[in-house]
Amino acid sequence: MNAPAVEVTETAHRRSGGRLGRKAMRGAPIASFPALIRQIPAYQMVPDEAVELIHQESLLILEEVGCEFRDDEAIALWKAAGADVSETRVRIDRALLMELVSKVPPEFTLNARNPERTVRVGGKNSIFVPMYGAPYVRDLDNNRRYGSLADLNNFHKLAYMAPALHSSSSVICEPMEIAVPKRHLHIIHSALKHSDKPFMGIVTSKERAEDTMAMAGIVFGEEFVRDNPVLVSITNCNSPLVWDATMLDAMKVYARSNQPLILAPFALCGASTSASAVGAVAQVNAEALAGVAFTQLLRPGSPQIYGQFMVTVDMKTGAPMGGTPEAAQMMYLMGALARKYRLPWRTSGFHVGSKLNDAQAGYEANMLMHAAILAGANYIWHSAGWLEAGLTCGYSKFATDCEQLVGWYKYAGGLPFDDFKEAMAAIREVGPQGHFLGTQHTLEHFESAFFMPSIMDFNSFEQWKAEGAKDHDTRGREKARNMLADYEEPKLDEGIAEGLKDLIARREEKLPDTIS
Amino acid sequence: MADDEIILSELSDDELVQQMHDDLYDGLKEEIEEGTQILLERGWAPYKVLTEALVEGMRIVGEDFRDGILFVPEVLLSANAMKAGMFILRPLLAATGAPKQGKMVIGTVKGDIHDIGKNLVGMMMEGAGFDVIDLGINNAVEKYLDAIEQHQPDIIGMSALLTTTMPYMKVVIDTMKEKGIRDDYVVLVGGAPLNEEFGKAVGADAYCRDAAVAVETAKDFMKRKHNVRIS
Ligand code: B12
Repeated sequence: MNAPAVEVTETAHRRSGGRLGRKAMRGAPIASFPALIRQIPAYQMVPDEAVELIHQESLLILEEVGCEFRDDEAIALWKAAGADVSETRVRIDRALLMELVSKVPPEFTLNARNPERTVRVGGKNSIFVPMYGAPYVRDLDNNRRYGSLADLNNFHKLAYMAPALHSSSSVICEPMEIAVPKRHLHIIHSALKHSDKPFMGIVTSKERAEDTMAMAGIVFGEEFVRDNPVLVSITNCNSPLVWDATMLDAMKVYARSNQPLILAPFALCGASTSASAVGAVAQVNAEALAGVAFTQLLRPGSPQIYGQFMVTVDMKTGAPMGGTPEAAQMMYLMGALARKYRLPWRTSGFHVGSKLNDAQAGYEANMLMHAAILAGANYIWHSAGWLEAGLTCGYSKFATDCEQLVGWYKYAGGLPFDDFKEAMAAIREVGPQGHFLGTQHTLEHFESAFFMPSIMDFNSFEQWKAEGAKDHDTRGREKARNMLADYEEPKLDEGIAEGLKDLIARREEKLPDTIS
Repeated sequence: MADDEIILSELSDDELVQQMHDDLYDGLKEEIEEGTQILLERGWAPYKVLTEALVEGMRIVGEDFRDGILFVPEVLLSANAMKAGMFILRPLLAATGAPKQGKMVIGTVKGDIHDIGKNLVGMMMEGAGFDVIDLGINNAVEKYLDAIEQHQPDIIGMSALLTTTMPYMKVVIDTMKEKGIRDDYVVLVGGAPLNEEFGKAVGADAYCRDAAVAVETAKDFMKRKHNVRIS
């Protein structure tokens, strides 16, 4: 009856600097969150016996069918380790396999060039990593075109600015105008220059992997990068059951320097695995374990990332799909296996088939990220930008993903009880029929209590219309544009910057302009 | 009607051709072999069997694939049945001097191991009656040249899924030019990161966005080739 229009309880009495002060406080960029420490349990979708059954079947695949390792040195290493080898086919018995797998540390530290951005990966520690490999971009004007170095620079800048991204990836999009033999140098340079977060290596040839290590050496010190993880690289199994020479070459370079590899087969389920979610997991698990075991022949005890990137295939075209329920279910199975093996593990998130940052993209992304989080993944990669099954990186999608990651970071960080008492006091203070918008508790907590995304629009219809009735895709692009306008490059020691430039110049002199 | 009630040899020509269209649709290899034999025994010219029974049947399959009624595994089954019919017809077609459906050499270029798309294209081409020689993955220019010499194809198909390997298509085409054989063949290129412009830039005859377009384009080029010969 007599409830006042706005109720303001007694509030803290202090000056904040008025408009300017508040603006500075709200506008202060947070460069990065620490690695996420999961405070929610991992969800196990199937009983332990089912996990065990899949594990046993994977072991049988490697014992009976075996796996191809198409490289002489790899074959020699397997022979020396006592595996059953015929030509390039390697059959690995379970004792040998599990002994090798058990050498991998359950957690490791991934060093960044700025020590404040250094993260832990494994156990309860998880990181989000932006996408990789897009030939195309959907640009700030909503055009789809081949990526350029300017785009790549932009995505590295955005990755640097996004608080919930813990890595700059590497080739977020392809700088198509640069000659292929020289391209890797500029990709790595862009990541190192525009961001100070950990990054990813190049794997398309041994020489390019070595160049990546040389560049890392300039930044971190040659000694340091021989033993300490500073970059993570993806080597894909060619499912079913083939590790090819290119990937094995890259593995040799990186694992021998203690640089973690991701052994997480990218399987088009239904095309490169059987059309069964559990069957696909048994196969991919076998492939991943074989890859992990091989790295331990290269360097026992080297940190590695086990896992999967499994999508289902669109039987109308053969193309990979995005957020299907089975893709989510398979994440839970792989997560349970990873915990059984005590391995850090990777899965994807936010990887969609949609062409635009639209409703399809939103549904797909959410289906997968929710599962990745609940499944307890440690290296959640392809977490920003991904459209069209990886063919395109979208600015709008990138900005949206970065913002949504802040939400997922919070979600997985668990529910804080630290202000529970105060919250209970607030309900007593307000009583029936009042509201909480003006209470001291609300004032103190509103900024952190609930996620406040800026690209999502919750305005009144009229306000939204007055602002141009913009759809989500448009708002995402605007956000990306604004972020880029605010970007400030992180400091890089001048000697290091020169060193990188010198190395690139020297290598470019030697490398040809065309592939042959 | 349950299929075991149908006795192919008891059907009239028209009924049999209709039935073969259905059997192709259902991917029934043995029934297609049988139907092909029956039509030949009834004195049909091999070319007539090919066009009216098989190619027409696969046209229907292709249409429903395009419209999302049939799915990849089903189409592969149909293509396989078609291939079985073709196997019977091929020597007879050659002997009677019938216009060739065409021969294609296809492979993924050097440095690249992606082959799901290429395999689909190969199978769909076979389904359309083409003779397909699949070179597999990771093919250097020499492999294409050897295959050209050995198989004398009408069409060269190259696939690449990596931006780092797609420029290799130009290496192959330039080498063909150097050898003065470029214009003797139709060169089709494909793979998700490619596009029309890129296809032109490397000097291909056409870029095809998917397997169905590849079949249509290949048929088109074969038609033009035949027309040129006639005029
Ligand atoms: C499946 C897949 C793989 C599988 C391949 C399995 C196999 N046996 O082919 C695996 C996991 C092994 C793999 C490995 C790698 N991949 Co891959 N892969 C893909 C993926 C997801 C789908 C490709 C596919 O099969 N599509 C389905 C088929 C049906 O479509 P399609 O190939 O486009 O073919 C159709 C048309 O293009 C056309 N067509 C195709 N070929 C031809 C040929 C002719 C003549 C004609 C007329 C038409 C035609 O018709 C086809 C049928 O309709 C793509 C992303 C994407 N969305 O395309 C990435 C992608 C191509 N891969 C990529 C990368 C980076 C790699 C790796 C380097 C990753 C790594 N670090 O390990 C390795 C390379 C390994 C090597 N040595 O080459 C990048 C390429 C990026 C780039 N900038 O170059 C992509 C874009 C994904 C990404 N964003 O990272 N990959």
